[in-house]
Amino acid sequence: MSKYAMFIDLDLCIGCNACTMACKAEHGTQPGVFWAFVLEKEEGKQPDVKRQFIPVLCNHCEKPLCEKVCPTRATHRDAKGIVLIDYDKCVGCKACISACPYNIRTYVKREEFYFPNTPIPYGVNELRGIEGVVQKCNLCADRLKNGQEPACVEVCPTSCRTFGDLENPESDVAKLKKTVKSFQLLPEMGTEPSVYYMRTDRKRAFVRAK
Amino acid sequence: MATKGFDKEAWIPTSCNGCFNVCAIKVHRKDGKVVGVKGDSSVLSSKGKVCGKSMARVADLYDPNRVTVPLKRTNPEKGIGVDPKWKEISWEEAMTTIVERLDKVRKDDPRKLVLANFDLCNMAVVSGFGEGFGTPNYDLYNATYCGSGLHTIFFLTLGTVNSEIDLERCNYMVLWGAQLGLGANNNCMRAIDNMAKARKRGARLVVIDPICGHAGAKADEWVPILPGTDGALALGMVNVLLNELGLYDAEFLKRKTNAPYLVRPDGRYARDPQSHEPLVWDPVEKKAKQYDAADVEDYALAGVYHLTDGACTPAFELLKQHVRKYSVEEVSRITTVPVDTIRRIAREFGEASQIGATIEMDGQTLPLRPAAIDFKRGVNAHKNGYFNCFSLQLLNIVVGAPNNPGGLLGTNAIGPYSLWRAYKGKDGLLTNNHYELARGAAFFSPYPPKKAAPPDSLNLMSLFPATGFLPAMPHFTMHDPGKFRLPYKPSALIMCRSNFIKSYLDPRAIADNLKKLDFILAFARQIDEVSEFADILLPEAHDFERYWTFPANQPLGFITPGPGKWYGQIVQPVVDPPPGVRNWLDVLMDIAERLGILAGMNEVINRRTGFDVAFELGVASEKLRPDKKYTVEEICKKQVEVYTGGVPYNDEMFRESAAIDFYPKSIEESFPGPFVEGRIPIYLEHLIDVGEDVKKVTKKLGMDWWDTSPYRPLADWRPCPPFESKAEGYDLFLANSKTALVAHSLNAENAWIDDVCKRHRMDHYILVHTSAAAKKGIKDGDMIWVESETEVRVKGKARVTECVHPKVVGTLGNLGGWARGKPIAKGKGIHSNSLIKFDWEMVDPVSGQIDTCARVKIYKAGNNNE
Repeated sequence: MSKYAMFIDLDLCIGCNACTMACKAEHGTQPGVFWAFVLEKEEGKQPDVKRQFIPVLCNHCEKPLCEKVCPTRATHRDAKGIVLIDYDKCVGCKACISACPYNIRTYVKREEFYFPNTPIPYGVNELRGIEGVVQKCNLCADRLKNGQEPACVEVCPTSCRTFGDLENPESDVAKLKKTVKSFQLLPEMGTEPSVYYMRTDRKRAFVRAK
Repeated sequence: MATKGFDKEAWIPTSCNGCFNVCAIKVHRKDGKVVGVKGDSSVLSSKGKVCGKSMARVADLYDPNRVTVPLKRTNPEKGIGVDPKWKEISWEEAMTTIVERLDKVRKDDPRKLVLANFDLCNMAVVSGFGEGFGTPNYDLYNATYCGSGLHTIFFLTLGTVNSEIDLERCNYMVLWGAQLGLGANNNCMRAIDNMAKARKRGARLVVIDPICGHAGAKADEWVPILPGTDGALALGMVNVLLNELGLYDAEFLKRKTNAPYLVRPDGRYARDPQSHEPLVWDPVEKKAKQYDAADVEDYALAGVYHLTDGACTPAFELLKQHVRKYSVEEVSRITTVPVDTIRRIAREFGEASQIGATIEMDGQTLPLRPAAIDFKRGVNAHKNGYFNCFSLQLLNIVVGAPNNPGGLLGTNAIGPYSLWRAYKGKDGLLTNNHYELARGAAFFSPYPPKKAAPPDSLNLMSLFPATGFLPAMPHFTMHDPGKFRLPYKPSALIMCRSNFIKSYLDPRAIADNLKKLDFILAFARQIDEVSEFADILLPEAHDFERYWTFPANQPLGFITPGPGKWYGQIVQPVVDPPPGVRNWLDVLMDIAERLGILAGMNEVINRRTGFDVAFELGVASEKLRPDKKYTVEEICKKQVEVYTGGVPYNDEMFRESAAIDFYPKSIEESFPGPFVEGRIPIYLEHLIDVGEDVKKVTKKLGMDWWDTSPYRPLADWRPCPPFESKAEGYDLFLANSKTALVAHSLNAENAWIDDVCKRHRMDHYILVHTSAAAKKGIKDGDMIWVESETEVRVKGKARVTECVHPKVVGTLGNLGGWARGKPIAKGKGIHSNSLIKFDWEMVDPVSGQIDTCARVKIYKAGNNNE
């Protein structure tokens, strides 16, 4: 058994969107569709303003609300904890979109290309002809099978993402879970996400130390 | 016919040209198409990481808007928004026309040809064409992008063209109008990695900038500052360090700078009557000695000494007294930075520099100064750019940070094979040979200064004898050659990879310049704003389809300073270009052959690539022959042989990695500070003579309007011209910040980048501070106009935010395109350069830097968007 998890260090993320682009390149998502992206939040007033970047992706919840509402069982959780969509089974009812508290799923009505007459060639063709369905991050399941990390993890220039198997006590994620204070998004929803965030509030500490 | 082997699936190592940083990448080829990009983990420049721009290169390559055939303009009218009415023509027709037109120019006066490009590493070839043709005007490219003040000051104080903080050792990092390691700036991927590690280990990051960009967002402290006032803040902080805290590295100042040089009442050095070398005061023996005399026991930094020349004062004492006029209170009024913040940051910086500390490295004891201020365009792009940069650099100098571990490093002041040298020059001051090696990229020797002379080239080099970098003047001289007593009027232009109508000031002025030319040849991948003015347009290969000259990563700027190794990166083709599309430099060499200028061109290439020297030393089997036409591929492979010290190129060299290693850097190459003999100036004595020289020459030319008053030895702050404007109602200032996804205007014409930027909270918006928005009744998301004093206005969506200085309207990237050949970029975001005045009053007469400040007002767009 394994249980994949990802830790994202918000202190490190600089909002460069390399992950957003790596995801797009890896899966060939169509215009306007992003499985991974970076949210931005602004808090406070000068001189204590904070601009925060928050990379997001499917949380691959242990108790996914999307799975519960899927009428065709297209959305399912596999043995390793990846929440997947079987596009053959998905009927595009969008119940999962309403159920997902993280707003991470996209309904794709028609397949579209960035350049209609000359589609950009991709390394993979997993989404060609897939339409009338809901799409989302599959944690780069194909890469994992090949022993690679998800594309967003590999590309991150600040190495802010750590990926691995929580069941393996020697893994970096298992160690992080034990030793570092982390949080999940919207824990009150009871979804138990596999994506954890780390943040230390060191901003402006020097000023206060004066 | 496909190139042999290009049908095979493979990951091809090469270097990215999505911005100027040339990160090592691997490009995935499958079925003869590029299907992916990743970092090359075997090369230090990327260590396997790439940015979003690089990942998105696939979308550039297969953009249906690419030009694939030669085009001829049929509409004789030229202008912004005017349809050239392109007509497809054959290569032969294009070449015949081009050669005919250029030949006519050459016979008339070859200087009338101008070459514009930003194809960085290929400048040896471009300048070769220019010199072979007989024109000195081959270095026009960008202007507001790069730094005339900045690079000059780095030449003078670091001995090289650029700077980076020693991120591996620095504990107190100040990024000032710069975003090193945060998605922009030098050696992007390596710096991001090093910056992330530095912050993780607890190094403090202070960002001084009108806009809270990527850097401000990650800062421990973001200090909003009024644009263009940076020099005042820096001098205020120098004042705090020298006069309030007495916190400075006296040993460094005595031995590594001209701080102890005695200055006469007339501002010039006191000199030894025999040797004419500058004098210092030895307080132990109580007498004046030559600065480099072996028996100087100590150097006086204070006091007044009566010599035959009169009462002489050490330069340091003059600086110390001079900065008193930058009282913290006055500086606070100018910059809007609170008094307490100025004092605190000055103190924190001074204390963090650990004056006196040392570090053991490679068996040597070196000074350790783990505090540094890095600065780039934000500080430089002002009329006072030269002195703004010098003022900031004084902060690094007084604590002993330049080129020492932990401090501010010049990008490879010395190395490899001692080709790049920083050394002791005139009057014992630091000088270097980098500008010579910068391959015709508008770099010149700033020290010792040149002699002023009547101008012969569009860049007016001879009227800026103290600058080190001068790309911005040709637009002014083309506008009015007579004003600058230029003995000819340019009539033809060849351009590629330089969208200067968008990267310069007011596009209306540039359009006027372009309209005056008889013939314009453009090479373009997409028909951008400037290419719309071309008479003939030729398709240009993508960098995944061509060779660059070698190495792509010149040590001058694209190898991270500090410990590491020297290595050379290649740019090699991954796929074939579309049929009929060629590397523009190969076409240029064809044109050279037809014009009969190959011999002159090859001679220059031999000189600028080092083939000459290598051949003499027996490293290269042969240099370029005068009568033979070469390809870029041949030149690139020959360079590999030269750089490896005589190993001929073979196909295996770059099969697994984009780079070949030369040798590890020595400690002297890593941290030249303690080893290089040249002293860093804190007092720019040479400017006195240069100012008088320029005054004499310009007066003789009847150009009395040329201002030489800023030629002074001590740093001062002067307000940007828009500060003194009397126009009413323009109550805000314009500022611009780079983003990680849009480094150049060309990135905006990328379908993937555009798609991501559209989702961003900032990228396509106009940043308006909460208080300004409230005053004007502007709500977040409202369509607004930004109008400048020049009565140009641009429209966009307001982002009401605290992430911008209250008196500033912020824009991001070089966006807001209008070219019909760039439908993705068209109308997206803001083109802020449109708002900047094209006027000689915006030019720094010392460095040739242009001010990008503008006074603006904002108001809501009406219902009908008016």
